[in-house]
Amino acid sequence: MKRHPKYLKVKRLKYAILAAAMLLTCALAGCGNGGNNGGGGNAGGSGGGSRVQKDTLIVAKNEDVASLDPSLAINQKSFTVYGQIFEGLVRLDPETGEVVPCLATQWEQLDETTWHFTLREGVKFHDGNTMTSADVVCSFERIMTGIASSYVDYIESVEADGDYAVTMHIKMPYAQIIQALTYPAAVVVSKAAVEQYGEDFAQHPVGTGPYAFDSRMIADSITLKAFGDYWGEKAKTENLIFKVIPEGTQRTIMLENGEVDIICDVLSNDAVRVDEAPNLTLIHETGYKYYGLYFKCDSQGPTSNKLVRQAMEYAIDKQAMVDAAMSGYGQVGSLYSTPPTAGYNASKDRGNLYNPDTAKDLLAQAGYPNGFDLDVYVRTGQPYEELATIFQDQMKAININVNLISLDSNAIDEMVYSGQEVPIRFSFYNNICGDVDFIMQKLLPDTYGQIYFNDKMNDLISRARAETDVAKRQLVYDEFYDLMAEDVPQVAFFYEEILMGLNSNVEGFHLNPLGAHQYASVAVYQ
Amino acid sequence: MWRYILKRLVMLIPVMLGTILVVYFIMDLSDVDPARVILGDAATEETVAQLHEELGLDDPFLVRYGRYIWDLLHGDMGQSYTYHTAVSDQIMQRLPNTFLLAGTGILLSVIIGIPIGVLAAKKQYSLFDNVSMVLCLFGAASPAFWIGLVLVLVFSLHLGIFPASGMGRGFFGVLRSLVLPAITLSLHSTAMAARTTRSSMLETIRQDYVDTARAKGVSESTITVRHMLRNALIPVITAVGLNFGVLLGGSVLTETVFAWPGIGRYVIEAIKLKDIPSVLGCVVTLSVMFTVVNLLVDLLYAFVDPRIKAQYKQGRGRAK
Repeated sequence: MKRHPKYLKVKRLKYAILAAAMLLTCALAGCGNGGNNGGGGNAGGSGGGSRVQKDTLIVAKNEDVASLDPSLAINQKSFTVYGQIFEGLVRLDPETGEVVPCLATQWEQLDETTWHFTLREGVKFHDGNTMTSADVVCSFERIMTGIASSYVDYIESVEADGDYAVTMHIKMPYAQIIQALTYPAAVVVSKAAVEQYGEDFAQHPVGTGPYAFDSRMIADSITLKAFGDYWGEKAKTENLIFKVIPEGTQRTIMLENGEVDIICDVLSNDAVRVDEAPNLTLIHETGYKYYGLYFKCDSQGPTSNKLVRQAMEYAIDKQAMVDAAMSGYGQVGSLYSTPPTAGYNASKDRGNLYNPDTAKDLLAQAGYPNGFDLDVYVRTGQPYEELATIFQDQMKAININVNLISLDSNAIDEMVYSGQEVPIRFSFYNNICGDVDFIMQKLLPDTYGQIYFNDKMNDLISRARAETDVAKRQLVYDEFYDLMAEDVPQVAFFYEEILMGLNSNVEGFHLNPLGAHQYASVAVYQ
Repeated sequence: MWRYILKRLVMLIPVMLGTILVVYFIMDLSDVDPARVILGDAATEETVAQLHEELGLDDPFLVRYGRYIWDLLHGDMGQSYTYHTAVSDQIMQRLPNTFLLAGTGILLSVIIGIPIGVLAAKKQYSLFDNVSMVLCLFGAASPAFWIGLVLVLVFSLHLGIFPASGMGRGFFGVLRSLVLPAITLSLHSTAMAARTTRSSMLETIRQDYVDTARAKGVSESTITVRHMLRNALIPVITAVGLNFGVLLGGSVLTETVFAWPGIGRYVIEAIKLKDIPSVLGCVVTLSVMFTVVNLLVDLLYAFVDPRIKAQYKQGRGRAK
């Protein structure tokens, strides 16, 4: 049968569309197997031959940076990225956890409130300029007047002493200053870039770190390139990409697929899956953060009585909390500092005090043998609400009837700051300076929303800050731990374990207890 | 026609003023102090008070609202509390991504939904009709976050064809990463388009002019496309047009599930972080887009149906 030409034309068009669809499908599938430079392919080891190193390392994190300007962003989501671009005078050695020289080669305490830092010579910024004392002075002046000012409020002034030295004047004796300078926002920026870009510095961040800023796609990714003129050991991988993947489960799937090489903040209920996968590695180590509940010690209700606070600590089974809310990933403890923190003392850590009988006795001594009703404020989200539900159940054993009030963390903080009655709230502390001193000062009245009054605290803080001998300072810290065990302004539940998922083709990763991991030492293989 | 467009654009002004007033009022009811959001929880009372002074946070509600509107009229949506940059910059960087996702979603719903609707109507009560309508019901009823996760499990985790999350790079990278979120986003609108097309086609399928065309010997495909579908398209365009607006706003969930860097995810983050200027900026942008898309849909009627174009012209005549 002879077909009409129009029919044949339509038929040819149909075949053409079909062929185009098939080609597109093949192309897309092809990209799925090999098109993802750097992240493509599951980790499968080398198979015995010489391994080929990839030029791109892809890290999935849960939040986008607030800013790449250290004077504007002091949160973990930001310094995990800008920590690759900028460096401070000192840094934590990723392997030993000790404070080691970085942009300062040595330092000296001239008197109680004066410190002298000798700067490393020949350090280049990403814009080609050489780092001098003017950059350091400019950087500290920006931090001292920016939103991070309260974290460096011990500094009076910083002045240049020639091209390669600075003198730092502090307001009071502060023996822990070198540890405190590991604070991620206390980094050196290029003065020339600050002057050139002004308020747009965040879009053009220029530091001295092993990686230089390349590009940013808001809410999606940030790309860094290895800095060829870096003064230290050069970055092992040419390109470093941070991808923003808010959903924890999605991050795990992407790691399993080989779409990314490293994922941050593995969900605790995904951790076992990552740990057991043959081509993946789970790294979990205790960090600086601890979860707990904070009392309003001048509450109108029963929690103003320290015996009640002690009783509640004895009524909490912390291990049950770690098991249920964190899938076992967490270290039960009683101190307000975690094991990697300078000043932590394991012998003072009473761990899980769980003993309902002791709790009942203490409650009876406090005058509440039949318990009482209590409002507990919980910030929304994981793991706070899970922890609070377990807490509510455990309090029933000592006849404390807990009324859980879930609110946004900002709303709870606002209530605390404005002096409203918040008898108990669930939250966490992340010791961003890595020394017990940081938590001690945060316990002072009206600081950080903490409501605890004891004149001994000021004395302990002053004594610890004046004590340059580490062993003697530890004795002051031990006094602090004893005071906390007596007064219980907080109950620490457990120390957080930082959970990182890695493809097994990733080598050289070291975990930072603050979450400010450095990726310059990381190599990733095909 | 132009008068009609102008009238619709002028109507946008009270709509925007009202929308902003409601959102501004709701955000103002929150107990959260923007100064503390900006400065962080370690801020001292002095720095908080200083920022209050700088930002005029202690001014009366109407003064702050008026100031926001005034700034908005000058193209200033304010500074994001979270990102410390202009809200308009943040939105402009994310808006193309949202348009890409919503546009692909609507394209999928048109090229899949309308043919399904046409075929289902032409073969009414057949197996195809029944199966497709059941699937449409499923598509309309399934929540986006669930469908999204199922698609990720199947096509990403098990088959490894498409990336699980995020936006790829380069043409093919973007295309690959677009597939799963676009399907997720379009599922509901595809089902709506198919069902609307089917019911609208069933109305036109038995019209006299269809019989006349058949009697004249016009081919079945021409009858279907030019006589049935074109007449059946008005309600379909309405449904698809409205859906495009819904998709722009509804991309909030899909963008969150698939880590798509669009305006939907931005608004969720901004609400969570109490970044009030960002929330307001997103709401204003989405409202404008929704209104403009609806206007475009109205204008599209004229091109599909000459009778409506004639009505516009009559309206102009009366106005004269």
